[in-house]
Amino acid sequence: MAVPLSYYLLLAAFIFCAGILLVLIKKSAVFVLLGIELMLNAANLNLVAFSKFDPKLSGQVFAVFSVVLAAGEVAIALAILINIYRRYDTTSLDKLDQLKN
Amino acid sequence: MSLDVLFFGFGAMVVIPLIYMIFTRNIIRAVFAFTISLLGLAAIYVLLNADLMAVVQILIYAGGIVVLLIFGVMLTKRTSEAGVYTDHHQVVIGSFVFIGMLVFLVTGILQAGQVKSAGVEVENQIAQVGVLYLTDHLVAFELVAFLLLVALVGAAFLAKKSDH
Repeated sequence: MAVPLSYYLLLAAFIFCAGILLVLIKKSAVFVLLGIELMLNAANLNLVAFSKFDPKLSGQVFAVFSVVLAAGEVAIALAILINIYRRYDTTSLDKLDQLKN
Repeated sequence: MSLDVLFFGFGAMVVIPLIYMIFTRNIIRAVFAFTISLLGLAAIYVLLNADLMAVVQILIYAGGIVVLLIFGVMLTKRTSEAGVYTDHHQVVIGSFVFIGMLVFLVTGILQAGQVKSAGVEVENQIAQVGVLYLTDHLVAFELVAFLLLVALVGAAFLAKKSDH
């Protein structure tokens, strides 16, 4: 007996909401990055779950693209984070409130 | 063992570390909890017959992205202070958004009705996906490879020590 599709969607919904909660309540920029990764993962799980019903497997193809983009995004975000830390000596999002100087 | 039991086991492996991540204040522990959750998700991809996606999940997420995140934590915190701890803010607003979003999504999914089909069986799925990359999705494949190159070179450029 196969697991119904809605179970996978419910799991993905929980992962997405946990990602939103992490982005909203944590003060550290690394935590916010973790939350964004979780939301991307939830989207991937939905894509793969729906691709089970697709003989052309488009969902899986797209999900692998999104993993690659997530890897690029994390690399860039961490580079920016390291620069911010060098300049302001903090990664707390409450203290980063200036665009200049 | 039936697939249901496996699904709930690996689903717990995904969900429990997420709950831990929400409540913990220690960034390093949160990253490791995130790793466990990613491995559980890879197992769920196997249950969905998406073998390639499971391998990619372990290699790129659990292998690459987690290492990058740990580097990020270690490079942006001083070990002398109690550096790996962080505080919470906006807890009330965050909880309201979390509960509202969860209720919205869950009611939506439960009202959508059940799928009758048991899913299509694709023979030799990894080979099929590989063929799709080099035929139907060739342009996107090449573009994403180029984008990854640009992103990594850009990250190396941004992270190098600047003079000012």
